[in-house]
Amino acid sequence: MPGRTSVDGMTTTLDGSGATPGALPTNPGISPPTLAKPHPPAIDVRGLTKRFGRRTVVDGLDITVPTGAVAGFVGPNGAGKTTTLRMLLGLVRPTAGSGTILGHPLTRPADYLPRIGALIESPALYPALSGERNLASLAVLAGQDPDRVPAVLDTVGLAGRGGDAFRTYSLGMKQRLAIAAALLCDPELLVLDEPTNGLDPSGIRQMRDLVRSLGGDARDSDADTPVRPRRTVLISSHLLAEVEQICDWIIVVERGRLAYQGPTDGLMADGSHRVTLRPEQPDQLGMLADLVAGFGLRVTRDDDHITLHLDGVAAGTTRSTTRSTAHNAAHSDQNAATRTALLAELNRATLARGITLVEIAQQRVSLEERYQGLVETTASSHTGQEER
Amino acid sequence: MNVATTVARAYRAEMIKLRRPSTLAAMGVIGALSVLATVLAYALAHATPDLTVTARGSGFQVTLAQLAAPAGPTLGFVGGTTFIGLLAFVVFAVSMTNEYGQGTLRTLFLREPRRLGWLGGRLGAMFSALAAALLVALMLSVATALVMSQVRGIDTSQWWTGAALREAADNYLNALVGTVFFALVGTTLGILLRSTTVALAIGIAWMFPVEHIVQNAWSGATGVFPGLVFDAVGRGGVVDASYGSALAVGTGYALIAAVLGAVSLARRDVTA
Repeated sequence: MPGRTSVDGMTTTLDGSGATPGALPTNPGISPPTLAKPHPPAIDVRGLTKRFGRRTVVDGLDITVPTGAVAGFVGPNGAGKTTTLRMLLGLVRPTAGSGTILGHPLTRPADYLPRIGALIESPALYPALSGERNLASLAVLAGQDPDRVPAVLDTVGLAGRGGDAFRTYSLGMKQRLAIAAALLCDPELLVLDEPTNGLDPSGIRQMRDLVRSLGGDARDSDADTPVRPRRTVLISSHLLAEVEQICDWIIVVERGRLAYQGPTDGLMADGSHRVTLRPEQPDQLGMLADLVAGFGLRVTRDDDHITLHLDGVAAGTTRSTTRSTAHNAAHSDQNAATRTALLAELNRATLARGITLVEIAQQRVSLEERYQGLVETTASSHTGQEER
Repeated sequence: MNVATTVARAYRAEMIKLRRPSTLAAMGVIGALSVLATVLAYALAHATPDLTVTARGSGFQVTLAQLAAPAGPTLGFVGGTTFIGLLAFVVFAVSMTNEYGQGTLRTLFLREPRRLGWLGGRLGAMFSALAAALLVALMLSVATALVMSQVRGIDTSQWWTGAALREAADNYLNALVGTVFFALVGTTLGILLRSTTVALAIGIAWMFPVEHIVQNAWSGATGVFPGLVFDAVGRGGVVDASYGSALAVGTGYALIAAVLGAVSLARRDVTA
């Protein structure tokens, strides 16, 4: 089917039409190009493991990042995010695991790194050299054209400061220069590790806008038409609000293990949902609560309304330590459908009992709440396994 | 892409980095050390050998007759190679530990993952700068010698002969080889230890005070311990270690250092 491709068994629309089962969401505000043929995932690794002595930092991680996605990589401090990124980029040797990056084996970083731009941890460039000289040196090292330096400086908003020594830059400027360094190769995959760390709110906003813009089409410089899929971005961050705004794909890790990966919308739609039901007559609140409880749902009662907790409806469908990305995405949509059907059934039942509802309101949980729930669930699961 | 391409790119990239004031400052220090050694050699030269000084091979006794010989104009330069070797050791060790400490190594390896090729190009560029610095130091030393020869009334007629030119070339090459040996060991310690403080503490403590203390008690140390051997190479051989044996032992140390450094750089994780 034109405009469709399969990513890890998941059918994905690439024509921007969106809402098919397991659809890959698009970058905000960016129309994806029409592609003639499917692309494999930008990152597809299995069983990635890293041990430092007896300490396991990354534990059998399976990661898939579809080509063209802006993927958020989140997890608590010490969850293994940076170590994972370092393994993907050839800086750290995995203890176990295999996979491909941009179609090349993980074991051969020299084959894929020329097509990747990366910023790992803090920006690390030579303090005494100017921004331009730092970039020119890196361009020459990588066999790229140093004439691209002014263009990438302009892209990150440093065109007027390229001649100044790196040590005179503010932290925000250093971050942007490091991103400029990552852009030298016009990367197909951009890996950014905590790019907003230490930035003030204004810097964070600038960085968010920059990352958004970088997730756009990768075009041939001499042509108007895209010659390859959109640039894939993998960004690790602690700022969930940022991830929610920027990323259409999310990977959650906890203690080196995968807690979730899939579309950000899928995570938000999945799992813990609350629905408020308000009867027209407050004295019918008890009858309503009993009726809802009869459906096997957990209910909390307030002055004039009850709240349904639909956690159980989606139980077991969100964590993907053993399931594939496609499985998660499919379940996400199944769960949404199940919840809708359940609410319709409830509505009919209340009417049959003579209860008129004046409000049925679904309360969407924030990414932060979902994330916290996932991390706690995964952590307790790991603790249980360790105790056994 | 072959290794030669990687080395060539790394060489050119390093050359861009080396065009900065601190490189000129380091070259200036090498020149200044050479000038200082020349001034001291001429100022302290005796008319006849001072027999009260025990010849240990590491001493730097010069007579006015030696200064008038074809090797005379570069004797001060030779005397300064010990200090230049120390400086090279420090500069190369610190530049490597700084790559770890500042995190620039990960930036470099993200752009060029062929680590050994990068190391080869980097060292090539730094050795080129070192060779240039030594050449400048040699010329400054000769110029200083000309001035000092007038002060001490030394006959310089033998300085403008083919033999003098050959001596100068030999002394320059010996100084370069000895300094490169020091630089290689500094680089390897930097790679292995990844810490400026630890690398300098261990390297300087061992190659200078410790080795010289042992040398005072055992003259054979001159031909065995790396710092003394490299120094002997730089000076074209000394009493307790001939040039040939010092060069052989020094080359052995340099090869061991190169292998250790290469293996460590290629295999260890970059976590900084």
